[in-house]
Amino acid sequence: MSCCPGCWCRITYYQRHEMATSDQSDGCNQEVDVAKNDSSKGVGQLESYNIIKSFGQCFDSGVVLLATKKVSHQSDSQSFLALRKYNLEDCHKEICRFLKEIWLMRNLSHENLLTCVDSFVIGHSLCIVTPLVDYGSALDLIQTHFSNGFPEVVIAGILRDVLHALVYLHSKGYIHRSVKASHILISSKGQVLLTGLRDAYCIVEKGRWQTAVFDYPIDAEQNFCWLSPEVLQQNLRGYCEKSDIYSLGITACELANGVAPFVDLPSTQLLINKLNGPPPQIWDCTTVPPPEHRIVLPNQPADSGVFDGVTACSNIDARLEAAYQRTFSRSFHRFTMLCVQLDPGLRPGSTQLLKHPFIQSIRKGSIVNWLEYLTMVPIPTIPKLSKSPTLGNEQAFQNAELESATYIHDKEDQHLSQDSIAWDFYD
Amino acid sequence: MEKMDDPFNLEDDGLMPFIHRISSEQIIYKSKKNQCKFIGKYVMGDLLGEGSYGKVKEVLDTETLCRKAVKILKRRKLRRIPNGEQNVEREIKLLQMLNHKNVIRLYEVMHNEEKQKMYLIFEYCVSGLQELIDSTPLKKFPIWQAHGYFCQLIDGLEYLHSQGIIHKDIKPSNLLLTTDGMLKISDLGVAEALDMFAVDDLCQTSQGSPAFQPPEIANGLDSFPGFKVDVWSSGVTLFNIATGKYPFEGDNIFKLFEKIGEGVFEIPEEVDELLGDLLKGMLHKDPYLRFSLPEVQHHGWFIKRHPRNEPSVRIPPLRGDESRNMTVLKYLESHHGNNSDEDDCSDSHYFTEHDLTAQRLQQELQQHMQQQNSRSAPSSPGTVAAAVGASSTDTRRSRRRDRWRGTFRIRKLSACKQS
Repeated sequence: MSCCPGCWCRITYYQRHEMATSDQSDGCNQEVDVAKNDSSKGVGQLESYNIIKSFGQCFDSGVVLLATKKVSHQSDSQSFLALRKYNLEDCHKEICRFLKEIWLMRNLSHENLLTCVDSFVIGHSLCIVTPLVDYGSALDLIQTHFSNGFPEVVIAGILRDVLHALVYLHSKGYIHRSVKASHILISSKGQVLLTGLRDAYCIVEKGRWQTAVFDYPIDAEQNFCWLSPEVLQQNLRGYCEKSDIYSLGITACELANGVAPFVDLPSTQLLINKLNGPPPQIWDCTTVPPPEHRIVLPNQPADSGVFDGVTACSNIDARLEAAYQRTFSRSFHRFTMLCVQLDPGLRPGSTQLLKHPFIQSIRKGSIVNWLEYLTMVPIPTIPKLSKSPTLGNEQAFQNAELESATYIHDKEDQHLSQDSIAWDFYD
Repeated sequence: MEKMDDPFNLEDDGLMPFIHRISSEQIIYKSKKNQCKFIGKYVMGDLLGEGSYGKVKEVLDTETLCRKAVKILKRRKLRRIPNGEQNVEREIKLLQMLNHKNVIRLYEVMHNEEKQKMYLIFEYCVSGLQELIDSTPLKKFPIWQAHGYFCQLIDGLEYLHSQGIIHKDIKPSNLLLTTDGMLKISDLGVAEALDMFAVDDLCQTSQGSPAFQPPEIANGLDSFPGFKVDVWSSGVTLFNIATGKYPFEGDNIFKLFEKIGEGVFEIPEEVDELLGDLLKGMLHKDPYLRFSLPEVQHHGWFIKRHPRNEPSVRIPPLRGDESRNMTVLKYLESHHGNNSDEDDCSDSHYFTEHDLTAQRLQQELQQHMQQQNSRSAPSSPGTVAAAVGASSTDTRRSRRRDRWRGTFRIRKLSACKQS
């Protein structure tokens, strides 16, 4: 359940399911007006939101709360919002990055970028309100449903929308620098949103469009697997927006294989593999050798670079076996190969990639809407909550608050839990 | 202590000092192994520079994979330098409280009591102004580039002065550059921090480089305004990087100080009026009539936008590497390398003069052959060129040929031994 730091949020399946079931009555999201139950003691802008429950943790110090916007005398067709709360006392140098993220989310506008509805500071907490994207991130979906990777059509659909977002970002002079599965959010309506703008870097400096930039990301360690070799190299050549294309290639591998290349490697080994080793691949029957040729190397050190460096993965055998049973199209292979080339000059740009046959394939009518794959996927048995909080009364909120408190307590983060109790919405 | 240092005092060890003659055939060379060294979480790379205080090497932070630089100070060496230890202590104290984009950042200080060494971890600077200027034929920058560096220098200096710190040793070799061309003022070894409640900036001492010292120091005045010392040295620096010359020169320090003391200098003809005026203002003999930093910042030449009419001076290649890639990689490779490779070439660790000559001849022959039929097919693996060159194209080609093995095993490119 632990959220990978830097990830937007984590909604577990049952939480989403719960929301869906509560909506069954009228088919659309039901607004629950807290204001009538609670005395309105909220502070400032927070008053205009109903906090429903907490459902996860974000970053190291953030809590994600489910909320709806209050509309006077109207309680229908309300969409859910995600309210991220960060304790400003906990984050030191991250504050400026949050500010940058909010600024970018508010000033950039594209259908494939997560927007910021509202942001405000209450006491020691910074709140960022964004629309709720119900499936969560692509990484969540991988971990809950697609442990061996998405079907090819879904990947094409996701990558196409991410590419649209990247084309937009690059045209505005921004390098995203942290394109990865956990920064790709997917809604049940088939919307794909790119987030994680806090690592973005502006190519334009003092009114001049730079040919290369040299800034090394502050928390590069969160994104080692996805960062391009030229970013890590930190040499005089610098890097440009093509480094996002590399990250996209790694993300493609992550979506296809269910696990990012180079993951679990010690940082220095990762560096060597990335700069000198073979490029990562998507696994299918053409790239994974048949079982008899599969060298299992029992006494191989963890840093041997076997299968693009994914050795420490415990279930590597099962993954490879599953991968051996499938075939990805040639165009998908070519697409990833193009993206993960070492020389950034050889990688195509984001606009060029949109015209790649792999991305174009999604437009052809022969392939069913990729979204159907998500809904058609057999859902594993869901652990039902023993006491399912019914939305709409005060008791439920106390439950939710309790739940969130215990949830946070599970994280063994005393400070946070104290803070979240102190932050009292409900009386 | 003294005895240990004496190379001729071998009797203690029971060794008689007589010369043994051996033929070159008998000398056995050992190939230098890329031994990977760690200091805390940092991996050591190649040498970046060497000063009187000690070596500066590149390091890699294994946690963030960020390139950094380490200044290694030996206590034994420091003791020999007048005020050495005090200067280092003061520098650390000052650097730890500073935070500006044009002043070098000190991240960490580590001690090794056993080796009597001290490690200062700095932000990584790819080059210095002096190195850059030495790489040009006329030893100067185009005006626009000199202006860019000068503006950053004044920015950094303004910050230092605002913190009550007088650098006292501004010169091109103390101005470093990062990969993105940002100037960093470094070496605060002789800097002086004014007392917080000091009424003025009067100083009594200076240990900076002679050519950049102002007349008041050259004339040996008891006390002098400190901030104006930095203005003077910045003026000399600007003079130097914009014209390639020094305003004051002398065969020895006495003649040099005599010239500086007179305070008379000539501005070269190619210097335009505006720059000449700025230089005259900054190199005024009387420190009280000399420009202050705000006056410099409001000067026409400082404000002016200089057209980029000449190509910029680029950072020269270091040891043949144009883009100055990280140098820790080869050490890391030997650190992570698997055992089989080392077994393969364990016998080639040692070689004699004869081997070296044979190898050189073979290489020359190879080159000759390649020149003759340069358009023929690439050399087959197993030849020297393939083994030595380890060019990425060759390895990639062989990788494609044998995809399975190619993907399962990383090649230790730089660790290839020459057989």
